[in-house]
Amino acid sequence: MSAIADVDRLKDRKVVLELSGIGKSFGDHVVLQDVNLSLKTGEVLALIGPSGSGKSTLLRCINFLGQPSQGTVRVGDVIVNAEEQINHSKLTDLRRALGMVFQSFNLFPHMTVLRNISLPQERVLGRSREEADRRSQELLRRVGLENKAHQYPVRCSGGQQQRIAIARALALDPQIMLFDEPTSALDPELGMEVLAVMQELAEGGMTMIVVTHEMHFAETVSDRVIIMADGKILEQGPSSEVMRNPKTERAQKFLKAVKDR
Amino acid sequence: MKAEIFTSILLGIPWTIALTLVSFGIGAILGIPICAMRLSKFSALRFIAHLYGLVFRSIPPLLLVFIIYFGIGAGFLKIGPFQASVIGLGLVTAANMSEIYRGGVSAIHNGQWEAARALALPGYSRYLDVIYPQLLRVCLPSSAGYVIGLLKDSAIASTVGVADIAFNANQMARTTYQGLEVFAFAGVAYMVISIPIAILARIADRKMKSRIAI
Repeated sequence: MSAIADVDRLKDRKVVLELSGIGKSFGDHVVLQDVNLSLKTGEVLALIGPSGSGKSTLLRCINFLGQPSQGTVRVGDVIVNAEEQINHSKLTDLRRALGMVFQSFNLFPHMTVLRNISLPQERVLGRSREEADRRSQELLRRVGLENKAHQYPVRCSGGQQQRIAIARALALDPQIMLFDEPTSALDPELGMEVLAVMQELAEGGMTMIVVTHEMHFAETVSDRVIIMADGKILEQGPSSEVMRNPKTERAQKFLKAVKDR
Repeated sequence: MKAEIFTSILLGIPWTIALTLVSFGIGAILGIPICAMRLSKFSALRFIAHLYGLVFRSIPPLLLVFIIYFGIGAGFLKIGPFQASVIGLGLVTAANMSEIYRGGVSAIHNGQWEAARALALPGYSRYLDVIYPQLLRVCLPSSAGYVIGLLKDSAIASTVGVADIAFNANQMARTTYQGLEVFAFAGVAYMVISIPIAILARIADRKMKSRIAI
């Protein structure tokens, strides 16, 4: 898929996420500085950059797991301003629109795989147990784990747990999926099965932001790549362009370092 | 040994068990808000919880029961010996249980809270569905240990006249002059109650661990 085709694919889509002036600091230490970003429906964005560059922090600011110090987040028609008193129902609306997948999976260890996926549907969307279970089974089939439904997460491999976590987030029908280094805790082989599920999601038209160290994924699956450094967006553009011909020296250095490994 | 001694101590067993269960129930429930205050972001609440722990963990339970029974019970309110004992022991238990809960909360991975929030689970569900069952599992071994300790501490109630194992043993020793036999048998009675608690707790712990392993 060429960069031109990517742009065409998204041309008439509407903007579903807008970050403006997002900043975050811990005391004097500035972690994010004036980040502006918008994302169209169906767009897949990869956030890359050296560790400590603020990419995970930025992702966590989107659903207010980490409270930004400045700026506003808009998802669909929900707008949350970090500097105003944040109202609970608005925060809930925001989080309902966003699915999140963590580096450490964070499945609930005391529930079966099926309960992990069904319980949030019942509590958040008010689905009946039957309805939720049906949806959960369907999603488990989609991530290739229908036979794990009645197991506990501890009986599943890391790759399987992460696929279950993806199913759990998808079950709430989010508008956007956020992935926080979803394969960093996995060995390469298990990482592959998670990436395959993510690629399928992307091809199915899901809007996604992926913080990752998987350069191949960033280059081939995402539409756009953002390289971050020192809490700022260093460079961004169509994936293949940014990955092959970075303009800034800092980005060149980073990409050379990760590619030469 | 005379049948009289045997039956007298057996009659004390229900009282000992009731003292233990009721005090533990009071403490286990009261411990929850105290733990929540301890973890609160408001320093005043943290201070109150801290003070509570300091007071009720440094006063000997015996003294506390005396204060309630002879002090408050005599002057202001009519409090029976059983009530005074379970209130006293319950207050001490609450201080200790809040510490056990606090340890449990810190043992639960932060990712569990984050996942619950990211999924937009409502507040009650975050606690009841996600955190509480895990807390129960983490706190089970130390709580069981505490219950066994409490069972033995419940003998304090005999000093204000609750007819538990220790009280009846004391009575029997005075009337029969067979102190060694009587108190040795009373000791066996306490053991017979505490051993099953320890075994049950271990079985429950192993069962939960094999399934969920936090």
